[in-house]
Amino acid sequence: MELLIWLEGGTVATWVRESLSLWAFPTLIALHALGMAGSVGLSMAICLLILRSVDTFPISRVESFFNFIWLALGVNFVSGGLLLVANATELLILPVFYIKLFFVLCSAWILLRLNNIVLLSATVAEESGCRSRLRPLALTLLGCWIASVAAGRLTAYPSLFLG
Amino acid sequence: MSFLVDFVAGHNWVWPLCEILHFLGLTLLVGIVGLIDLRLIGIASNVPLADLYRLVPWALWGFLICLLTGVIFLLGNPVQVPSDVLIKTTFQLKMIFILIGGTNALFLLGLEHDSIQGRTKDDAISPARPQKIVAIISLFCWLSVVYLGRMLPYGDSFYFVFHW
Repeated sequence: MELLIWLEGGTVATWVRESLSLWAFPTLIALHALGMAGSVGLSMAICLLILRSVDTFPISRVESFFNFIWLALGVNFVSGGLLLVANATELLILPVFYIKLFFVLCSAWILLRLNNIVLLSATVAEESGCRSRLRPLALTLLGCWIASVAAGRLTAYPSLFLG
Repeated sequence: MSFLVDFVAGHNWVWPLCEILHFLGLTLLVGIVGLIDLRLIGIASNVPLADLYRLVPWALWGFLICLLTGVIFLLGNPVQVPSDVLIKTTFQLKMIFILIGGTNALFLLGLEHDSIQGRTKDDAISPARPQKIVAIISLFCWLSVVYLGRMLPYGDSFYFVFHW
């Protein structure tokens, strides 16, 4: 707990938590939401594309979209980190926060695997082989993102878990 | 609408569940529309538009989920009456951007229909400039909707834009 208090006591953490400026907590929470819309939203769209597309859909061509997903995840990482240090004593005692982190890490790992498979599927013959690997990954990624969004929202309701 | 307020107030899982569904709905909507908009702007220009347009019904489901949960937030809030929300500039701006973005989505639906019917140009050709402009406006609108929605709890504190 002393470590958590130390984390919260820093200049940046104090500013994020206590400043009345829109640029502090409100902007960070908005950036976190925008990052979520970008990373989770684009990921879900690509997953649906993989799951619903016909066998002739050129999977390798969606590779460019992954750059935006990684950018949005970066925004989430930075904004999330700042929000965490500003509210460390509240968040780090919540089990649901660790559930969120677990599913976010799972999602990032699956996304990396999807990205690599898409990169490797440069020819049509390779694409048909890759497709069988992509669909289970896409389904799992959808589930992980839904779980992480749900767990993330529930961190705002500690009373549901702590009584 | 007092039954809705009483129901929300009497069950502490309703509001969090609605927020989760609202977030999932918006990721579905913004993700799919964002993907199509990026494609129209010129990203991954060799991806067939017809295949992307087939995702539009899923975006509509996302919008409907957001609409339903949004109505519950507005009419079922046990601590804030609807008029307090409706007069907020942040809320009004959000609705305006949803209207513009929604109009654009209808335009995309028309494109989807034409694409599936085979009446559009070759997918390999880069979209025309008007389509690119519409896509940029659409992207801006939906990202603004996310931003303004997240700013709603902070009221119309525009004074604080200049306060560091």
